[in-house]
Amino acid sequence: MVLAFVLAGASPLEAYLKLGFAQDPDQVLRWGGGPIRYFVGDRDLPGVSGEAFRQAVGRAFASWEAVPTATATFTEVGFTGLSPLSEDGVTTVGFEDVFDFDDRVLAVTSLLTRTGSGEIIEADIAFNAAVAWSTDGQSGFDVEAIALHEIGHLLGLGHSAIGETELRPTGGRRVIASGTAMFPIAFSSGSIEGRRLHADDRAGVSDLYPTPEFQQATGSISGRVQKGGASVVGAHVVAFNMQTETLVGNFSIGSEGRFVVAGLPPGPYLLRVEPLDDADPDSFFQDSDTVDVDFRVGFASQIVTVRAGADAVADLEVVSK
Amino acid sequence: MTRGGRSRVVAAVVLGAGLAASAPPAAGQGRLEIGVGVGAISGYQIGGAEATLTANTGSGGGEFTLFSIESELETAIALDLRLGWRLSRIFAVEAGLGYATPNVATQVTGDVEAGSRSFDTALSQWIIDGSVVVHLTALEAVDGRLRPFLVGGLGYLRQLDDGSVLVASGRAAHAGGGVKYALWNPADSWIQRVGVRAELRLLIRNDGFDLEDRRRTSVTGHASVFLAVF
Ligand SMILES: [Zn+2]
Repeated sequence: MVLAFVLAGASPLEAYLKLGFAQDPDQVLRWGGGPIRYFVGDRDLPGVSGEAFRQAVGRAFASWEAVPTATATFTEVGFTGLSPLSEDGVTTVGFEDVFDFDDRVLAVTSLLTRTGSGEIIEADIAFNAAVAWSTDGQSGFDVEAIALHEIGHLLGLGHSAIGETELRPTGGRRVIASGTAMFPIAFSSGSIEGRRLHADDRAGVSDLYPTPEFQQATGSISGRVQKGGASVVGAHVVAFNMQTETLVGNFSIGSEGRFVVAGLPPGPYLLRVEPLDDADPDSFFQDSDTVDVDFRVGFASQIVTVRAGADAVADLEVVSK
Repeated sequence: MTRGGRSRVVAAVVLGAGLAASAPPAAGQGRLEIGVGVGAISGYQIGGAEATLTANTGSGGGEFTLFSIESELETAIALDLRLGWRLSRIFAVEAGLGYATPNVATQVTGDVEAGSRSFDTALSQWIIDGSVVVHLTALEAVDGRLRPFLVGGLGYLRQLDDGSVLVASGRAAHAGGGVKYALWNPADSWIQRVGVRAELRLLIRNDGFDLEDRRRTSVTGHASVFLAVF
């Protein structure tokens, strides 16, 4: 058995780092059946006791488990004194002192997968112990919100780009607003806005771990993004449900600039396409130098109707900035 | 679907004919009336929607609007096929099939990264309905050639996109009135009357394509030719 360790999502103080999804579009990273068993680190940090940490992490797992159209379930085994990043066949969520990543990293998820099948067999989430944390919405980064994001990676999800940011004068980016727990940049310290899953997150986890009802009840929109006849890679395509006002996104990938936005309940959708300029493209793609960000925000030329169990085709034409 | 709908209409009319066979005949009026017409169906707003994100406000839970949309189902030409069965001199029942291709005009405004824009989506709209027609015999004029009537009933609405994908379906109630004018009234033919008909209806929709799931009202106006037989 050959195993691969994939670094799957770290969180710089404001920005989460790259994760390990879509290295190979044909290989989906996913757990096998049964509940995902995890241990919780028993360390007490200033302002966050081991017990408060355990509860916050438990709430984040429960949020993912509560998605009615996904089958992923979790079982907390108990506390552990082991380091989360040790490769020990045990899935652990806990604080870590030595952070080899950017010093602005909040947390990191690593996945141990079976090469070939993409089956995840171990995942560890390490929270940077040097960061100020909070579990009660006071000053400090919110453990539950960051855990919610990292558990998305633990499940095999990549980053989503539904969010708006602005550049900070001092460098880096600040989130103005976000519509997904999987946005690569975290809400500010003291914010608990990130504790909630959005339609995009629910579609993502349901796509990976679908209930039979989900597969029957939802459809998709696919197509190509083009600019003057040439394929656009890395365009962020968001499907807006005109009746439920939810947003679900994905990217155009491959040499043909193809996209698929899946897990959409039937209904009328508006497609919006934007360049990947609210975060570093390499927080979304391993091969980020092919990402084209030189085009204006655009919309599909008409409403796209999604049917249950069917794919609706809609091509998008964009123009240079 | 359309073909299925059409055959249901015919079945309803045949059934109606069977039930009404024992009703007293309306001599010289023609029991079965077939009409084909053209008209317009007025447009109406189908509501708006907002694409919002969660604002990074700390603990306030505020919203950030990415963009807003407003949509309108625009006024369209409508075709109309009607089969009526006269139960008495005053009352008749009717089944109708209406077809229109209204445009959905959608306006996108307030996009944080793009200017306002609008785009059009064509819908095919079918309405199958059943009505009760009350002829206002007391108001007949021009030697009985001009005959006003009131009409009311219920219908079923289907709206499809240009790929024939069902966008919405729903119920629609209607009420209105109009006049029929007999152009030709042969005395000894199986054709009893040939005439023209003009009518206005208020159409109240409970479902159908709508961004806010609200009841919407529109007006339809039709002019048609009819043939009454038997
Ligand atoms: Zn991440």
